[in-house]
Amino acid sequence: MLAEADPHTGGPGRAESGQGEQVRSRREEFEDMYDTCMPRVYRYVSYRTGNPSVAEDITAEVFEKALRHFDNYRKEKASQATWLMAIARNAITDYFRREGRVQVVREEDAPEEVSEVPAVEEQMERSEEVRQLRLCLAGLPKIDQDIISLKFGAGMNNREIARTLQVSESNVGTRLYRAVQRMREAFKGWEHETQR
Amino acid sequence: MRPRDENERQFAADIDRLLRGEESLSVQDDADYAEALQFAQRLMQLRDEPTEQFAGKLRNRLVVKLAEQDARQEKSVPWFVRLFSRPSLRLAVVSTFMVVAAVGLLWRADLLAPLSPRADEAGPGIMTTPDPSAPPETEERTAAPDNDMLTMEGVPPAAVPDTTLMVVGHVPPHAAYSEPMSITFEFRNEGTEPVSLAFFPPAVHIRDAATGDIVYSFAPGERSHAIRPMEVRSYRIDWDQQDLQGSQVQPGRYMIDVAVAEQTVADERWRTEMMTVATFSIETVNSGD
Repeated sequence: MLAEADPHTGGPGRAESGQGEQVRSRREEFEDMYDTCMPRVYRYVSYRTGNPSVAEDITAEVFEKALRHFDNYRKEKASQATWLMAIARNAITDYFRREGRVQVVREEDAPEEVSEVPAVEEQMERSEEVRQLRLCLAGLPKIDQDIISLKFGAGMNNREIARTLQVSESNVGTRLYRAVQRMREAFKGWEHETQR
Repeated sequence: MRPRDENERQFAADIDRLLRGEESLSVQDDADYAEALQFAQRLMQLRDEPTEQFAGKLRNRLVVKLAEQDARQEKSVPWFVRLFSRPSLRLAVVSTFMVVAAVGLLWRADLLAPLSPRADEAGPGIMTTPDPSAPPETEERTAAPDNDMLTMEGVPPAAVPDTTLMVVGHVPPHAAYSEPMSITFEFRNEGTEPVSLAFFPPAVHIRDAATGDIVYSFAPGERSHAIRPMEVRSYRIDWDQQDLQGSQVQPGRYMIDVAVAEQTVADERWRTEMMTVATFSIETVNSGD
């Protein structure tokens, strides 16, 4: 499934009666948030980092942080998806800072093509194409990388992306279109080179 | 060629449609735009899904942390607030207060006075002495299965909400200081449909009953296990009374929590229930020994 329904915006519930019910409600709220948003967070992080094991680590970090601050979350301020993506974005920034500030697309990071009868050459071409696409993504300004990853990875609409990145919705539309065009131009150049 | 603004708006709308698995609505009269859409479809292929194993493991870990957090929060609440926040205890306290108040009112209104001289021949009143023929409470408690393994007082077999699964913890009610001890869990399916358990054996936490702090945790396993109708599955763990830092825990009362991860039939989602299934005491060190 590529895109889920609009993320629900419920915050941590506070049942009026009894500590037991309050704890249960809080836990249920968190579990619902996890089930709804975890795949989207993972896809965004994975899209942005291009490395499944790093994506798992960062996604876990995001939800652990969300758990620690769950009581401070206010649904009036942001939807759960927006809140989590903002945490994820900071975690990704920290990750790249720790890793030496440069986003490197390594050969082994390119995901392997899954095919029933893969022709080796075709698989290598596909792998190289994926790697090239990742290089094109890494060549964009950080905010454009986020827009592309939130759109194509997390499947967010422009309004949600705008709220996550705290820019206007029209700005997201403009940047998205231009970023795709820039990536396309860069990718075309690579295709042209390989065909010669 | 369409104006750029229109292209940008249309492009975002078309991408959202493609992401939902629908066709784009744009008329493909602009070759450049059509090519951009094709390229966008390539970008969608970079998307990666989380594995089920990762999703389940992380979920389980978070639920355990959530329980720890709740325990810490509960600890910081004053005892009288905690007392009143538990529905069963609150009911007991309020009921007792109302009975005492009612007796007080009757007493003040002298309505109880005529009964006093005939108290010896009266039937059971509000305040009665225990029936001597009734078995002592301690006998009832010692009538436990599995030799001297007992479920702890006040903790009946715990039912996993919305399922037919019952969980019972068996542990000696009093353990000698620094003596290794065994805790046995029984998972009993009392329904007519199988129940699926994930992350078996389950995560187990031993908590200080006074503070609510987790003193030791047993990590969950990674197996899945289906329990057939009326089947009982047992699981035993051994604990050397050492805390997470490897030190002997203090004498006192402790609670045993189990994280049961089961799959509901209705929505096929995994969920984890954290339940207190037993308590026990570690005896004070005998300095004379």
